[in-house]
Amino acid sequence: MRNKWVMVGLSVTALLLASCSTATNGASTTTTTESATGAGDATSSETSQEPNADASPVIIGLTVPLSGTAAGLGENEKNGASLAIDIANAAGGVAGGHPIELTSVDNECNPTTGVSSINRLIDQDKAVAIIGALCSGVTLAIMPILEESEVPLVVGVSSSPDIEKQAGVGGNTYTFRTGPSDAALATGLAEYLSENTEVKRVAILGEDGAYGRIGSDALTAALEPAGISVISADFAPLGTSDFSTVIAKYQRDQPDVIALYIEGADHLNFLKQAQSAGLEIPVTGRVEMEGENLDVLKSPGFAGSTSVYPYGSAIDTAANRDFVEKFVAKYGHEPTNEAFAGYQVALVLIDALNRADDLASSSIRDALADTGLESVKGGKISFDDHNQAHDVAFILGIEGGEVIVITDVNT
Amino acid sequence: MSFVWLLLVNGVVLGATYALLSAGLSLIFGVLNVVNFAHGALYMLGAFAAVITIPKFGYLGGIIAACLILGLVGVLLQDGIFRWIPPDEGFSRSLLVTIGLTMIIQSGAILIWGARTRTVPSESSPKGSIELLGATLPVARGYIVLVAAVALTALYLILNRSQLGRAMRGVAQNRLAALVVGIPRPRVERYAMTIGVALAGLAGAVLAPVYSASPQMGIEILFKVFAIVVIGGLASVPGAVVTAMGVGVLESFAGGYGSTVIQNGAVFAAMIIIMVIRPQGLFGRQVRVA
Repeated sequence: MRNKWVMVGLSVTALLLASCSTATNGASTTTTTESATGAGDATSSETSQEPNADASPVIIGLTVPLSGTAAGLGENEKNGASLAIDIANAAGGVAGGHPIELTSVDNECNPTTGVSSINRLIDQDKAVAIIGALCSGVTLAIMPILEESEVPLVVGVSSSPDIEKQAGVGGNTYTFRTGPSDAALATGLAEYLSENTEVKRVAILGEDGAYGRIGSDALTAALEPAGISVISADFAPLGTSDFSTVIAKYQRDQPDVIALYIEGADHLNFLKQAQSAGLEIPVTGRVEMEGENLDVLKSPGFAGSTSVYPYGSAIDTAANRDFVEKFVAKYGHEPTNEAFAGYQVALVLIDALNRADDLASSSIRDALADTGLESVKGGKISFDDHNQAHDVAFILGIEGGEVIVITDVNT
Repeated sequence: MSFVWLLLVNGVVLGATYALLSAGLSLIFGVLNVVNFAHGALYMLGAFAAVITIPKFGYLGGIIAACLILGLVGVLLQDGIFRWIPPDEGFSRSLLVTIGLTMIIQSGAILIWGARTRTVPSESSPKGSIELLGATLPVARGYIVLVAAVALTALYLILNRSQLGRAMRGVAQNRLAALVVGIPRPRVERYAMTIGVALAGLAGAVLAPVYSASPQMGIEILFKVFAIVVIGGLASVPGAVVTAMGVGVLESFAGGYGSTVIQNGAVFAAMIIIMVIRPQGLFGRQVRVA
């Protein structure tokens, strides 16, 4: 009898934990604070000027996943923002010599934890502006809180079209986004595929969350007018390791191309397993052509793969070459899209802090609205009525084992 | 090539992975009365160990080394933590202890290796594929089935044909009676924990060349493995193994003919149905352990 109750208890525990595992990943919130004056090696070539020792530090909050399957992405965004802040501090700080402190809180890619992270950054750490939240679901959850608290949020990575819809005129005037929306990227990709390739049948593989579902919807909507049909859309829970079943479906259906809206460890797992299963179908969508993914994507089975992406380290501008050099010097690997987004968002905030009348959040918000900054990628960052920037994005491909920029995409 | 056959082959590979994990989990619960929520984190450690050892010692040597390292971790956990938990309170206390261990191991892995994924270099991974009646099976996935078959056969022989196995079954059936007849319970429990953790490490090691290693990789799979152990009948190692194979095939077909999301739902739906119809699990009436 005792065993029966033990088993029933375990069943309930397993179900409860399983239901929240993909959301929370069982991780606790952690906080790290970057040194305000600790400029790294990367800043050694900058004109060094000590921040005013008497000036109080300006706290910028960063909420990104630092645990869970998206932790690697969050770490990269944090590293990019840290680099920009280190450089600014080494050059004398902002707004007349105030050093900047970056306080990072883990949001676990979970909206509930994301809200807690914002409460902590505003109430405890007194952040004057927030960078984040990487995961669209978290960004959408924290936007109303930041508006109510009148603290600006600058979004670099989250690509849900809903963010743009809810921000700016008639909506949340405290949210700004520098990165493109999925809808804009999908339109650019659909145009490229219809005009430059023979693709007629697309299978979509997305993560079972806001990123995958919204990305899939946006791409489906953009492909249909271009005469390209979506033959299947599969959504894998965040943290899925085994993709053998969905790969078997692709072997049976033979789509012309597989559009990916998955990220992090899941993205790499899919590519590795598709390669070892001998799947010879190119991938497209939001393919992460960086890090270990690139080693897999170089194999002949993925020939003809493309990606619509906001960033590639191969972008040939002076500002990007400088960024890549400093990032590699500090972190030992090339910057990813998330690292770039963190860097660029921090640059936008630093620019706003320098132009703001004072360091009140409302003044920073007003300064952000008047942004007119040259982008690291060669475009221009200024916000439209919905506080959305329209920086340039790219169709990336692989040639000779290297990532190349095939063409620009207007966002 | 038949789609059904391909799904079946994939299901067996998936089931072999689950079998390695669930056999260890079931053994630890059967002998120690410990509900090991750290099993997923130990599986992750096995994968990270393999990422380091396979390039140094080759595929087979690396897997064996990773398995031995995790066996040592099992000894340390048993002697350092679990042997101090009173036997009568093992179930309730182990829940909290092992959840805490999971946090510590995961955070430790992030501190040591960072949050980024790690992979076994392709030059060190098994290459090529096997043709199985028209289904193409990558060699690395074929090895999962082979390693699982060897390890689980060895486990079966230990439990059923050795003095140690008889002692484990004795402790699992009645701790007090085992003590009375002179079975050295602490030593038997240490062996059970060592074997159970080594099996988790073996699962992680054999999967490292197929998947990528990340600090969070043990979370998702852990709950499925718990469901398997519950469906199979707590502490029934054969029940866990048979159920694991069944769940692997069920998942493969649910995903193949339904959607990826349904794969997970199918496992837990099966668990609920079996708990209602047969609360002791499919093999729950068998003698505990073996």
